[in-house]
Amino acid sequence: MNLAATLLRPRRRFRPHGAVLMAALVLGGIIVAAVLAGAFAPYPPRSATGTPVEAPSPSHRLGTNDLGQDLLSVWLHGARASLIVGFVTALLSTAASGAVGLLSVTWRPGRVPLLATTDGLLAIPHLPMIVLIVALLGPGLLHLIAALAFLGWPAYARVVRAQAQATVQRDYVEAARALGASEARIARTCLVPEILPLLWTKFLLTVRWAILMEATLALMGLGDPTQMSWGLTLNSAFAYPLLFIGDAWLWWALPPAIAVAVITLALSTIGQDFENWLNPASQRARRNP
Amino acid sequence: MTAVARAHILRFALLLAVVVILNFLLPRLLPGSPLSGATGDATVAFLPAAAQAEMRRTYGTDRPLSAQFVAYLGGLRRGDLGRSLATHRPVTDMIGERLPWTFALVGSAVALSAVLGAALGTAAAWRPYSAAARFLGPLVIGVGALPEFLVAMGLIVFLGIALRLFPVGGATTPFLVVSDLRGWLVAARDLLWHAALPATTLVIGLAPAFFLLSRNALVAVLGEPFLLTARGKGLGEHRILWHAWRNALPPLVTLLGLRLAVVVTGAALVERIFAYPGMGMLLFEAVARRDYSVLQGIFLTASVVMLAVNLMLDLLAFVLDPRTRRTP
Amino acid sequence: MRAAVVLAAAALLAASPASGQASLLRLTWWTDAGFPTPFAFSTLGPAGVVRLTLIYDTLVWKDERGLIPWLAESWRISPDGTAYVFTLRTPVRWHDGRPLTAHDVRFSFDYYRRHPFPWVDTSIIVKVEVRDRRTAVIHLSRPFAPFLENIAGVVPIIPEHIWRGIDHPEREQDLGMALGSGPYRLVDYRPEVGQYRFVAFGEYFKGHPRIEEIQYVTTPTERQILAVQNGQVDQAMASTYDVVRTFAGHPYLRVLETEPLSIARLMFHLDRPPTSLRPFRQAVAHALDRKRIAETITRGPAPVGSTGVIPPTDPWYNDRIQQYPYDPSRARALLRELGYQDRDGDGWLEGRDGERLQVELVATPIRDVELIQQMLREVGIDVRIRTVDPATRAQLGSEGRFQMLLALHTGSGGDPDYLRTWFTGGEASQFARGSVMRSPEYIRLARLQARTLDPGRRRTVDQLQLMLSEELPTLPLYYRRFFWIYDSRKFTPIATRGGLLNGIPLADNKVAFLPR
Repeated sequence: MNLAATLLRPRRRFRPHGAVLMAALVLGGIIVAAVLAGAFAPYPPRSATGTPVEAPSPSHRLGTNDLGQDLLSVWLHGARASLIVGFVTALLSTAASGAVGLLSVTWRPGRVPLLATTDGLLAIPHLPMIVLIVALLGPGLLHLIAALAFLGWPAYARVVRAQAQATVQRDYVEAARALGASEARIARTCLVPEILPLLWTKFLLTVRWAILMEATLALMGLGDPTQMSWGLTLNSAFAYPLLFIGDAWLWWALPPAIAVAVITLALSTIGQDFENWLNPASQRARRNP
Repeated sequence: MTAVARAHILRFALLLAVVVILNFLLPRLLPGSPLSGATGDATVAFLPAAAQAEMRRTYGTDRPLSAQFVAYLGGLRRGDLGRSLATHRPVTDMIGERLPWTFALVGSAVALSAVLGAALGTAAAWRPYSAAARFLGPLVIGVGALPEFLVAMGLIVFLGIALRLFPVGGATTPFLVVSDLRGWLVAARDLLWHAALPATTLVIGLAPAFFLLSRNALVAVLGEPFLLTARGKGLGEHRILWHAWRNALPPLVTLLGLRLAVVVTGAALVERIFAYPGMGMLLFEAVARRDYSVLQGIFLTASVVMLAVNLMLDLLAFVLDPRTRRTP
Repeated sequence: MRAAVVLAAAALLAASPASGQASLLRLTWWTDAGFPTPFAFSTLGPAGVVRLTLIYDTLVWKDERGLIPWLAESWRISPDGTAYVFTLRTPVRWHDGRPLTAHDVRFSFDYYRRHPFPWVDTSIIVKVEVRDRRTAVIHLSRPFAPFLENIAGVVPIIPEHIWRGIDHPEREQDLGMALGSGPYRLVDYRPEVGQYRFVAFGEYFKGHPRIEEIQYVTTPTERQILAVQNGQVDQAMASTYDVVRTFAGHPYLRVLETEPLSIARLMFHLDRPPTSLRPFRQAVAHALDRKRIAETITRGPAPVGSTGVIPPTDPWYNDRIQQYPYDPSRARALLRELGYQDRDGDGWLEGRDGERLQVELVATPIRDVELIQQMLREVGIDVRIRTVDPATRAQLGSEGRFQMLLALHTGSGGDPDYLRTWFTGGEASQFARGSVMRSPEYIRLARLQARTLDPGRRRTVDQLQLMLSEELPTLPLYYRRFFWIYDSRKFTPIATRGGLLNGIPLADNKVAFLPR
């Protein structure tokens, strides 16, 4: 089925259903917790306030880690690192994707170099590249964001391009051009509205991907050890040789694992619904029993 | 050969050249010269000066960059990827030992995911309003949305440690003796037993995409007027399904190809968590030891495989779908 | 008939293995150790060089009490200390049956001159003379007190008939090349999984090894304890004390403690301010509660770092050195003398120019770093942490691109010559450029102790510790023991005195596998 035709079908208004609303609520809750972590957390996360590897108690609701830091405070602050990486990466990556996709259609001389760069970057294997970049620049939140944004934008650029191309061929754009509108104005008024939904989807999916990557890399020991993140907590937990001998894993490893799972599930649910809305095939299914 | 095919092949060649050059430069940009990688942290970390000079001479890291590049190109032409700085063995040997494990694991996981996803997708598309279909969709997507490392850890903790049903690492039991037919069967069972958890992790991550693709493609086709006509004419359900599948096949094959294209390092995380001796494991080890030669070899292999599979996909699209024979 | 049954029973009893004996022992390490020849073994970590010792022998060896004769059954040192006359035990055979003679000893050291043995520097050996088949004389360029422990006890003797004429020894990785005189032969090696299979060499000069087959497999460190509990391996390694408590009442798993041979220490760059200022370094020493760091990281009573570098549990330890008890107010007083005070009340110290006191700490991602940062924050020092992986850390160290560097490595035990190699000379600079002792007196004494045998040596080593404690080029934080959890039904490892080879706290000493 022709991609352009698919993307141009008329759409219903976006009406999210129950699961998505719940997901949005959860996401909102996590964002609030991250922002207000300073207020909610019982102790400063970096202070060793208890004896190491203590089970949960009234003074330390989630117990302590191997340095004696309060795990609840670490968990609340961990949300910050994940969300920052997620949102900033998604912002940069989506902007780049959109820009490159649009420009490759509207800016004639830029078409070949832009496409070549996109394809070239797509040919580089993801994980080795990130591992290499982190080893090259050193672990650090900014480096990680840069690496992830750098690798994340090519994938959607082609999709944006396809949408822009299809739009450009439509009658009303031809008419606008005939009436003397400049390329820039056409881009602004005709193309951008059409690709915005695509970018929104990409944004959500990238937030999820970036959060996942950060957790994964931190778990592998390639993360930023100065940033309390869920991945880092998991890393120190799994490095503890007695983690599964006894019940330390319940209060040390499980909470950050659940947090990562929940946030990626929530983002995934919202993003999926968007994609379904974009893809008219599922809409037709609803029309034809 | 048509112009379009030629264009594809030219693009492949260009990208290959870029990959070769990038491959050479990137590992050398890493801080930490190969010698500092050769001595570990947990020992009295210095090699006697004589040994260091020897290493530099052997690996030519004391020569200028241009001379190293020329040597690198010459080696590539001969199929020689140099020697590992850590083990002194030819890189091609090391890759040769690991690649089959990765291919086997990822290849079978992708195949399984495709079959499983397609089967579930067909079931969901056939009766889209049944309770099963409405339940299946979100379930598959939900499970697939879980982070890969969580799925892996979860499987390890519950199936491996708590229930002791599967081993939690490695590809085989060490030094299993294989001497007769019965031994072969035992070895085969051992292989499958060790591959169970890593393969399951991969399938859980990959199957949802195949499920979604099959279901959506089938649903779209099943609503098409021509099938309505066919039903009206009394064509059996099986024939209808087969027609529907013919339309759904191209995107499915594309997805399959895309997943296979990243086969070399696509399972790196899973390999690391399960200590599976594949290319992904080798990547982590090589980065830790600053083993330039091995890193170059891995990158090259991964990129070449990716480019080759993409090229094949593009050429295959020709055959499958005449509409793509216009200019790209 | 009855007699026959009794005889048969007696024969069976006699033939059954004594307790602590097994036909298969499975040991583990966290990574592959390379192909076990003296040229191809992996230098990343201590496992590679230790694995060699199963296949190859050295002139002398160590057990839990100290140096013992091995290939050499006796030795004499010339009065001037430059010649060692070794009388070899006979008959000793290589794995292929050929006899080991003094010619092999000479060949070994000659060959190492052209193809250096990556673990020790043998350049102090001038020549090896063969007096007869059993007698080899090693001539040194000058007297060297650590010779027996650090060279004769470490350098493997290789067979001349195998290695003669080989130009690239590191490339020789066929099983047949790993041929030595040691108690085990290598029969299988899988490099991609780091699995080794060793089988006992029946004609070993110390007797048929008690364990018939030894396998090495790789297990990630954090899974080793689980693995030894499940019986998948027979030994696991840990570096914290809580392990000991966990296995306290276990029916068959025991814990072996090694000497505290692993040291965690802070290195200061002596050319860059503020670490170039001695009062600053002393302030840091007072500001860090080393006892608490030790107890938190090792979860037990680890020996606290001694400013003279040699651990307090070591026989060479000198307690008459400058101590720096935990005293944050003293730290602040020292810093104030240097002109650092909190001038604007923000909790951080500023210098006379108003600039905040900031120091960069280079380290691998280990937990100690957080504690250090917290404790120095309490006296107002802003520590910026630069986290790198081990390879980068080693490079930054060798290039001197650091102000403070946190290093964790083995070797703080055995012969005290490390006070010379870590703090003077080319090798020290390779490790940590800028953090060496420059005082000519220290260098002179360091060289002197290497040439002197006891009792004079003791005094010089004491003096070196005192000088280190005063100058503080490095601040030892604590010393780690390694803990080996092992299945006592299968074998009993020993804790080598002073560490295996030079200062390695591994438990794979072949003495444990041999009949007593």
